Amino acid sequence: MLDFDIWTILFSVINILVLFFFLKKFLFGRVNAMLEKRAQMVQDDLDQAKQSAADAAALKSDYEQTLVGAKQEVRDILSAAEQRSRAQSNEITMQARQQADAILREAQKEIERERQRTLDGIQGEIADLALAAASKLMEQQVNDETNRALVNEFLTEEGVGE
Amino acid sequence: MTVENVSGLVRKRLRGAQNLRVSLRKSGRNGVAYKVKVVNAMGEELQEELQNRILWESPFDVPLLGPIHISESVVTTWLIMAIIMVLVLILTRKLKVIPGKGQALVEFAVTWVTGFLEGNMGKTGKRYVPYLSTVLLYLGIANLIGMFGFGLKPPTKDINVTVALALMSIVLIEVATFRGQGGLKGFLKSFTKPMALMTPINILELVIRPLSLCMRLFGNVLGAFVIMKLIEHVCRLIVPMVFSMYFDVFDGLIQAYVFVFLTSLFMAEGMETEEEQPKSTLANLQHST
Repeated sequence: MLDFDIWTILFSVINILVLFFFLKKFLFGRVNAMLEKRAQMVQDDLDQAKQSAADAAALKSDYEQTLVGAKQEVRDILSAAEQRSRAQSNEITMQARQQADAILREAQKEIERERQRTLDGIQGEIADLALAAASKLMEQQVNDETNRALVNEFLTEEGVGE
Repeated sequence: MTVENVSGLVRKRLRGAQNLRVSLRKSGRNGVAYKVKVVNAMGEELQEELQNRILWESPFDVPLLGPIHISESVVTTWLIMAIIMVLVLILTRKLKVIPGKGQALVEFAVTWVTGFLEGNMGKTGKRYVPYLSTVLLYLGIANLIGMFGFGLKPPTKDINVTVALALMSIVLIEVATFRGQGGLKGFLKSFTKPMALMTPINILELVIRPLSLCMRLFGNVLGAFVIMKLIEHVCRLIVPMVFSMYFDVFDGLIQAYVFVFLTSLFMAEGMETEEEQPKSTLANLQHST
């Protein structure tokens, strides 16, 4: 029982060392590598999830900002259009008024001119008529030119020529 | 203590019993004398059993290698190693990130033993975990192997095996101390802790520790083995099973645990540096007073 045997001791040491190196390589090496891989994977997943959450938040704020900008833009466009339309309507009204004024003025001038012409015509005819009447009255006592001047003077005195 | 010594002891006891028998016969109580006779016959049988079967080793010498002698415990160890290696290769063949049942078991075992040993030694002892777990696994199976029959005997009942384990343990303890203390100076200094007066005892511990480790394991396993064999000899049914639960399973596993636990404890003690010791409690004490 208590006889020591150097060979058994030696073999036992070798056996344990062999078993140790075997287990270190095949049990602990493999299992620990796998555990590490799993931990790494979980960490990666967590990181990725965090990253996606951050991305989503950034995207959301981006969209919100865009939305606010778009609203502002719409308001700007609407107000600009309103302004432009008002200006345009004002301009059109003004133009119409001006045009109407011009036409009115033209018409008045035309009327005036027509009246003047008519008056002139009437005056000449009256002069002719008066001349004819006077020559008939006085017969050849006065020549044509002197008589016409006389009648014209007369008429001017009477105020027909105006 | 050799086999001859033991047999001599038993023989002496038997002679005492014979004297008793003679005296009983003189007293004329034949019934009792018969019983004693039966017991004596049983004792002789047990003794024979002990010598010829239980403690009989089947060593075989390797003729070509001269004095090399391979004992039965070494052969049994090879068998245990083969079992462990095959099991490990099968269980760790295809490790997946999402584990199956077998892998979950292996992972649990590895994590548990790592946690247990790291709990004893701290983070610095992580590098020693594979060796200590190897010893734990080997001792666990070695101590249990007598239970399964097939004529297998626990190799740890051979003192040479436990001597080898204890020698490796003390080497590992000193290596861990050397590394933990950061070189020769710290290593030598660790012998004067906790005070210079303890130095001789600390040096003695170099011998005492492996001796106690080896003797504890050997004695427990051999004792359990002999007792179990004797019980089996007396009664082969059921009764040995009950006792086997204690002597083989409980004691065997406890001894494997104790061996590794103590080794890791000694290593932790050796690796402990002064910075790690809680000085704060002392400072607090001084501060409060």
